Amino acid sequence: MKREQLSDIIGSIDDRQVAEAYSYDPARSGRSAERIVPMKKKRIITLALAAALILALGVGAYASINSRRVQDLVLKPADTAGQTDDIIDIVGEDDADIVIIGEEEPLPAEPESESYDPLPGDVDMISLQGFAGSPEYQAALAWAEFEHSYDRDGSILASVGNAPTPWDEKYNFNGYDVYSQEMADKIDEIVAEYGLSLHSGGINPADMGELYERFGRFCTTSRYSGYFYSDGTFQCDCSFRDVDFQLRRCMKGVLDTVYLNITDAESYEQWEYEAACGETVLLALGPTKALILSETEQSFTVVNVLSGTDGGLFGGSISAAELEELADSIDFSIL
Amino acid sequence: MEDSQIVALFHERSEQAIAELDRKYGAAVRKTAANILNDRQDEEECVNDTYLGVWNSVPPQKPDPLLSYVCKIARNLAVKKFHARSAQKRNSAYDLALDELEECIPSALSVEDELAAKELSAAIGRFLDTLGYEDRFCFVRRYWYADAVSDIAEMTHSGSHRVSVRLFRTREKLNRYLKEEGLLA
Repeated sequence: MKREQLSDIIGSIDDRQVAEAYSYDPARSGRSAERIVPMKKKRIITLALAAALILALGVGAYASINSRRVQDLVLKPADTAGQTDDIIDIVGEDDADIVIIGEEEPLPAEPESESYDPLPGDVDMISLQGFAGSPEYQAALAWAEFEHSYDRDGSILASVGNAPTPWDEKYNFNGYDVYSQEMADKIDEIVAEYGLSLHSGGINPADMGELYERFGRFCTTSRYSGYFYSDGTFQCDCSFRDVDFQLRRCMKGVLDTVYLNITDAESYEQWEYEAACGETVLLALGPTKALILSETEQSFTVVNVLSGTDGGLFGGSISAAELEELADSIDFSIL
Repeated sequence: MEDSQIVALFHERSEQAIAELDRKYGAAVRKTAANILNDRQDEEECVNDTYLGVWNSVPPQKPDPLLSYVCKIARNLAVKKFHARSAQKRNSAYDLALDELEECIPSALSVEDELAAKELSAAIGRFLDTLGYEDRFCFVRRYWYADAVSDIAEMTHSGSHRVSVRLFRTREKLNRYLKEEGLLA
């Protein structure tokens, strides 16, 4: 086939796909869990203290969902001009990201780089791999702190450009953003320190059936979009009636770098609920989003519902009763 | 001005139609041409030819959405101009995008007739519908609009490398999809 034909073939795709891509709509990706949103320094003293307290008390890696709140996952930025900055950084892959906290000395003004954009406005981020204090969380924190301080001016990334790198196979194709040997060494050091492993064998399944075959029939949706790793961590886009949701299960013992913007944790009504599968989950219903959290000894699952009491990105609103019905439709006991 | 009003101006054969079209979508048309041609004079010719093309086709056409209609004309003209001068050295940004596409749609593939080409295009369209929004956005921006990876990264508030990885994955998926559809060996 000649290159002219290739141009013509791509040029003949559907008009609506061309029109859709005319401008980027962050609400259709980043406001859910589909986006990398690197952030600059933010103030989160309360949560940092909470995390430190949890560590001091020696809370183990596994804490049931009982008595937990969404706030236990939140890293809330605040205006701290002129003060010591805490870090909230997001280490993302293609679909969702993770939030990390920590402290460091005030930094000089830094040039903007493509990789690190400020997060507009005050928003709450939640980690998707577990509550603060878990090894997975701490490891993600260590990586984010490193990434936050590394290649501040983007010059190393710029030198890498768009070419394939030696680190693609092991890291970048498995959800980690690594583009130098120094980064590769650091991420290896972190997983060793916290006794974790890296994702590997990232696969985009052909359809939802492949996910069910591998992980069990955890929900009823037939829509497809997702990926999984050989360790069992997976994410998929699903629907329940006219409501879309994303389900991400993070396996424990693995470094995962994913988190989610939920706008304002205080705007969520929260309650524990025993789902039809028998597992107690935490439900959180906000104005434009709802969440279902479930934790077991082996994994941490977050269902990101793209609708809330006031409506949603694509579908209508969802009530508390409907959120419970959605929770009933998912078999958390096998996740 | 609403698209329908601009289209109505074309149907009335009002010269104001071109001005309104340029006001609303001129930037998009120029960007589409510039991404492929990377030559100011060629770009300007392409933009003018695009408006002439719309003038000659509307009426009888009543394009909806107008944006993709105009951009398609611009892209087709730019691609024609691009290939007409392709005897020159092959190192443009658009060449790079085509090189990437050839990874998943090999040049060895025989598309001898128009029907086969249409089927392949339709399959790519169906494949795009299986993707999440962000993957689809990046793919279309890269291979239809011929945007640079760095431009897509800026649009999506992401890093160039991450966009590159995302595109790589999507190309792999497309290759697998086309094989499953029986369109690739």
